[in-house]
Amino acid sequence: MGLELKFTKKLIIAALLLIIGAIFPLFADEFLVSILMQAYLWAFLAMSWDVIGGYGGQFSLGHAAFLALGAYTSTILLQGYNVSPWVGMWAAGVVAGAAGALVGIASLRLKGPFFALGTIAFAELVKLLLLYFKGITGGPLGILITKSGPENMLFETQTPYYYLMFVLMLAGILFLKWFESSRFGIGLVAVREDEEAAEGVGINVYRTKVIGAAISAFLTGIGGTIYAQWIHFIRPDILVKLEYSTQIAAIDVVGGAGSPYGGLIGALILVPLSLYLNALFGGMIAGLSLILYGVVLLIVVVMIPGGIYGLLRRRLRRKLPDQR
Amino acid sequence: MLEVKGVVKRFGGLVALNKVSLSVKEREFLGLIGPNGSGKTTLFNVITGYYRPEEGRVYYRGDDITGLRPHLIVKKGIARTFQIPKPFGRLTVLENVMSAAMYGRKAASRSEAKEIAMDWLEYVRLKEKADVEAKALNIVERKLMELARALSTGPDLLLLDELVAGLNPSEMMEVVKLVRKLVDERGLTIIMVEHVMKAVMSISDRVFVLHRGAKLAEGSPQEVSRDPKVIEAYLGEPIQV
Repeated sequence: MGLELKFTKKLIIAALLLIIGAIFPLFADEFLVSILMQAYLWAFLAMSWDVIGGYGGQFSLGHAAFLALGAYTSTILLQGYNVSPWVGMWAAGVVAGAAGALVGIASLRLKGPFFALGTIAFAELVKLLLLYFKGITGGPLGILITKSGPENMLFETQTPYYYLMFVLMLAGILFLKWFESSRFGIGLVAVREDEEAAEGVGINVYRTKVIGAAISAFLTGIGGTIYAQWIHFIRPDILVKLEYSTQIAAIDVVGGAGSPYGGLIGALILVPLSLYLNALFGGMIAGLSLILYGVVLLIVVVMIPGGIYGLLRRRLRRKLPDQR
Repeated sequence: MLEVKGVVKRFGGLVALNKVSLSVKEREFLGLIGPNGSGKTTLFNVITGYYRPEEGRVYYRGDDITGLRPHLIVKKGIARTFQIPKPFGRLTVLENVMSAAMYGRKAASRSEAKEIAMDWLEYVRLKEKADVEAKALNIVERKLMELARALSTGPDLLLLDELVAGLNPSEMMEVVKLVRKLVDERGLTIIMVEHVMKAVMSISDRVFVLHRGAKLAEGSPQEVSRDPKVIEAYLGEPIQV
């Protein structure tokens, strides 16, 4: 009975949050809507990272590269071939996913911090390639999105973008909820927990890691399309930034890696904070947000492993020990 | 059923296994004993694909499985437990055991896997812990979970690495009975590495003794326990007073 009660309670909380999220733009001004919207986008990116970073235990610091590959793929398709981003986003996912598979292959050789370094190098490589192939990517000048209309995922005001990213974020949570109890999800966590034991129950460790990285990059690529559609302008140096890669990872780790809600919790805290700090100091202090993420990451990793979601869950369990 | 022929495994200058040959028949319970460092676990690692031997071959039901990757050996129908249990700590006990059913020999669907897992958890009497995170288990429970996990892969040949070490005598006899029943009632074939002599001798059909990476003796538990070479290996040379 305790379990049923808990379930209904959960349902009510979820419904309330959903309604608040859905009607938020009706009451708040455009500025607040824009902040929350960005939090949703980063939440989705953090959830995408979570697949390989949290569930897979491979700490990537190169996810900005997948973001950029996704953004470039759909934007080139839109500007050059008139393909709507509603279609192009899937191509973006596939291109980013293929790059993710390459990174996954690297993860077979590179462990822990070396993998993280490898992904940083990979992101730099992607940036250089985007700069080099000027004919397709526009090189350092980037690409400006000149189309318009909802059929091209382009809107006049922030509100439609708000709903777009709201749905994206919800889809991310639902995906992770399904993923974590799926056959592949359980296999991926098993590999993270103990590779030898995973092989011992018949899991192909190599394949699992590569596919895990590909799924993570696929989702990040889709996020890249949405991001490009929102800022209307892409350039290698504004997309492939270590700062972005760090932000994606930091949000997820702070919120709680390896859980469907970690990304959202982390984004709701860190995104407004970093926007506020950037507005406060402008561009005066270079690398300020990098320092912020570094410090916050350190604190969380040392003080509350499992992130804020992990902390909340432990607290709740302690309070309700007989509800097991 | 399993045929190990002249296996040599070296680590640098150390010869861990020196031309070891061993065979197991269908539905046999083989005890594998030997002093510390005699190569028992190394032999398990060679059979299950974790190590590739420098020389010799391993045949399973006529197939050469030497050096095959571990997950493929599981799919052939060989499962193992580890000397130091290796739970997937942050998965629940049920998920741990389910993973084996989903990825093991049959590649069961989620619902089938859950059934298989629950059956084996009941068999090892761990059913009430199904929803607990595996890292919360004590050492005995971890070992039982590993047994259930190995069984869920659907093996015909099961390799148990010091399953009962660390258990108290009454727990030990219970687990021993459980394991013996797998051979008698479910038709499995088992090789068990064990330090606890009482357990091995009471349960095994045949005992194989390794010493310094080579075969020292082989035979029924009675023969082996009377063998002077075996006694010497375990107790050292007789001392002249």
